[in-house]
Amino acid sequence: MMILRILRLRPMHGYALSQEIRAASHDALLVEEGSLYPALQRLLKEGWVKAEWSMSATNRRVRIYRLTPAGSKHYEREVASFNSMVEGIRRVLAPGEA
Amino acid sequence: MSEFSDEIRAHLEEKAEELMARGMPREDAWHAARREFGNLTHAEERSREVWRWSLLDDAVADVRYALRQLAKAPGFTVAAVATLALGIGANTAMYSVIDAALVRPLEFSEPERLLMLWTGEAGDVWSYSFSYPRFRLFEERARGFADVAVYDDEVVTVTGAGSPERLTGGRVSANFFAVLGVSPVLGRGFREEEDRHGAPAVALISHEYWQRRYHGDAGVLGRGLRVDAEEAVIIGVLPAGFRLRTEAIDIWRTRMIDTRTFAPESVRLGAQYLIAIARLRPGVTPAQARSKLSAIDAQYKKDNAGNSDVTQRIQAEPLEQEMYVNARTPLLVLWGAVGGLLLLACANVANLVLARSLARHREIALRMALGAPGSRIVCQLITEGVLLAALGGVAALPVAWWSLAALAAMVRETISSIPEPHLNAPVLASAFALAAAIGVAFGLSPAWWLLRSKPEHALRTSGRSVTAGGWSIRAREAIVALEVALSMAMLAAGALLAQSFVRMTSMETGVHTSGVVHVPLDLMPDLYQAPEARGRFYDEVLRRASALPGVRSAAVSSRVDLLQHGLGYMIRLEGRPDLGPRNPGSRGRSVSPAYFDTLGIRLLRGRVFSERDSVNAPRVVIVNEAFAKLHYPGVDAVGRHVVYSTDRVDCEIVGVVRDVRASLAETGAEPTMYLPLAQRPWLVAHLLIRPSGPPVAAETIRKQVQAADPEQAVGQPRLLDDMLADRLGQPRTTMSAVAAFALVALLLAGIGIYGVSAYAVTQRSREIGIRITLGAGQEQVRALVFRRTLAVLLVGLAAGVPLAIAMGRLYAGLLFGVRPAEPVTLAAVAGLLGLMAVGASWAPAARAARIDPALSLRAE
Repeated sequence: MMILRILRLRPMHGYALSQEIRAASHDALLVEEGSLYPALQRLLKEGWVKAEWSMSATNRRVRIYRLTPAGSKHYEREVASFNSMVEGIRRVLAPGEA
Repeated sequence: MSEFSDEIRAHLEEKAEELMARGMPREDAWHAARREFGNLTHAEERSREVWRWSLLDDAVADVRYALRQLAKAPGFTVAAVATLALGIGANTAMYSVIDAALVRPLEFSEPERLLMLWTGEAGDVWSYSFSYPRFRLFEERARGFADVAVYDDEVVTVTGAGSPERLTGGRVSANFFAVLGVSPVLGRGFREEEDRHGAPAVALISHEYWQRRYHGDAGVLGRGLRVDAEEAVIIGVLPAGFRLRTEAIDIWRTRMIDTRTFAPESVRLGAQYLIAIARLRPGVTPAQARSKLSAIDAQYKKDNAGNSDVTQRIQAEPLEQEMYVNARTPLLVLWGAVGGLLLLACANVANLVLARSLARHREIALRMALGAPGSRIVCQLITEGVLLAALGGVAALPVAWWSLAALAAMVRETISSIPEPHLNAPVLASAFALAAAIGVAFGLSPAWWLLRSKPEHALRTSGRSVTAGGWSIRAREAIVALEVALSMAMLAAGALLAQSFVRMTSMETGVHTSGVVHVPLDLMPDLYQAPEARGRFYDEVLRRASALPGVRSAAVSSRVDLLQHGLGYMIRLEGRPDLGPRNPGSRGRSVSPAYFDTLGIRLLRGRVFSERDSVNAPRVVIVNEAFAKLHYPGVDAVGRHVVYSTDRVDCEIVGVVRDVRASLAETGAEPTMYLPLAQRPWLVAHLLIRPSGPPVAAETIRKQVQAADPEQAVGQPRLLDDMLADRLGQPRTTMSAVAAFALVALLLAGIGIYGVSAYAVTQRSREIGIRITLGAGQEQVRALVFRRTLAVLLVGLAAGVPLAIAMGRLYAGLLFGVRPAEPVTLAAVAGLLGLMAVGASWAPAARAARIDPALSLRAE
């Protein structure tokens, strides 16, 4: 889901993505970089992202991932359900403290 | 996919560069990058896995979707699956039979090294055409490159348990089983020294006989068995299921030189009664063997210039090919017919699939508009096709199983004995491969068309646009035209075979066989060596048979007209030069005086035999018309003299009788001499009894005849007509089967025509509505439909007639008195197809005429 959020802002390639994730979570989530790629393939398979080969800023051949409309829709739904889940937990843990 | 590797490499490079930019040395930067990334191969592998399982997921999803689609259209699914099941099942069963008879290697060791040897023309293989002197020469001379063995069958009397048993026996050279590669399961095989004149009699018994008579007792070895009044010691038991082609042989003996047909002078002069096989030594090819055999053959011809068989050439072919050679053509014809049915079934199912896919045009166009890639759609359609065919293939298995038993029984009874067919692995594999190929074809055809056409069009119009309709109608009509062509070929085959069969059975034979009973007699050679003894036996049998109440006449013959060909003799006519081996030949039968009367053969000139023509009387002979016309054209044959056979019997022609057809499969008669049984009695004979009125009980006859000599086994009495009907088994079965398949083909083609006709009417209902509005009457609208059907029919016939003629050449060998391109028959078949076409498009034509223009024009 994080990957989707980041890609929502702008399309990027694998390495840049890993840097963003680290930055966005303030280094709190140290995701093993290797696990990024299988995750990207899963997203590709589901059709939530598209990939195409291109040249990066540093003139290197990289694969750029881009969010698809289906992916965008999926992300919104996931966020909504995540939020309601969080809300539910909060209510359970601290009833009355709205 | 090396894409992963490239990507990951790029990632690492970038990271390393960044670290280097911060001042880290190169080596350290790389190490750090690798470490932080984590396990490289792991990442690559898991990335790959995502897609691998994805393919499986897709496939499963496709299958589920296809199943749902098929379930939604039960009529279509059931019709298609049932049609395919019948077609594939029948073909699988037929292929099993062919596999058993023609493809599967023989069950001998290294069967590819076995050759069949014979002399004469190719194709005449099982006509016992190898002579004993030839065998002895070949056995000796061929030793360097091959082992040659011979075989003859005989009928023997086995006594010792109740009334004498009449069994089929085999006479072989001592090395026969070794050459075949068959070892006894109990005891031993024959030895060389047992294959000599005067050697003690030994016997091998079949497994079945061992079970039947001795109940599998292992103590059977060494026991004596009284065969043809001689004690033979049982030395071994052959493996279960061993058989050389036809009927099961219970007792095998050697001592070839003593076989019943070998009178010493016959042996010397090359009497040809044997079947020869050879096993090539390792490293020898059939081609090499053939040239060496020819060389030995040349030697034989030089050394035995006087023998009757020198005019024939030696032939050698693989035994595997020749084993069931009689069955080859009929089986292949049947397979062709079944194959034709499968093609028709597939054509009909293809039409169904095409119609259905066109109906789903909108649904698929919608999916494509929503972004499904073309490749996914194609995969899904192919899956549907394969699934349909797979269902058909699975449903075909019980069909194949059930029809296999029926088919094998039918073939065995009528065409030829064949080994037990099984639904074995290769057969099943080929069935599934066939089903898979059909499935992919069904899936691809709509897919190809659907992807070519633009989805937007489909969504915008109602899917009934003229172009789409026109194309689809034409495609279906093309398929139906093919069906018509195939049906034409199959119906022509059925009709020709039926015509041929009717000719065969209705053509006059020259004998009257109704009610005549046949009893086989096979005298024991040792007890009946002297001609006088044989004569006395036959006299006694005839006396007893004639004395039975209800018997009008009885006769004995060495070979019965129509049932068996006469024996071949060399003859010399009075006043003509002696040409040695090139003397003319004639068929000969030894018959008792009442023979002609019993069989209803008409006497044309002279007289028939009587008691006068006894064993000591002057030698006489009666000839048939064919003989008289050939050798004495325009003059009276009666009174002329003929010298026949190796012992140069000079006899006078005393009568001429009407011709009898040589066999049920032949139209003409062969020149034949009839000899008095008393003057030339054979060991093998047939008793014929003509009742005066109602039939005489078989058991009564048998008892009477048996009483002539209680030690001599007598065969089972049967109606001569039944025996002749057996002979007709093969042509009758082939004809019935092909005709039945052809009628099913006609039905399938009719269904196809109905389908496409109805479809065309639906598709063109708008156009028809317009025509009606413009004043077209019911007749004209109907004519419109019929014209279209006629066009399809004519295209189909244009292809079908040459197809029928071409295929006719393939089975021409089975036809009797009928050409493969009989114009009347072909025209009749075409007419039948025309009637069918009109009938099939009748209902759609009527529906077209009833179209309400208001409705059709509005329904868009």
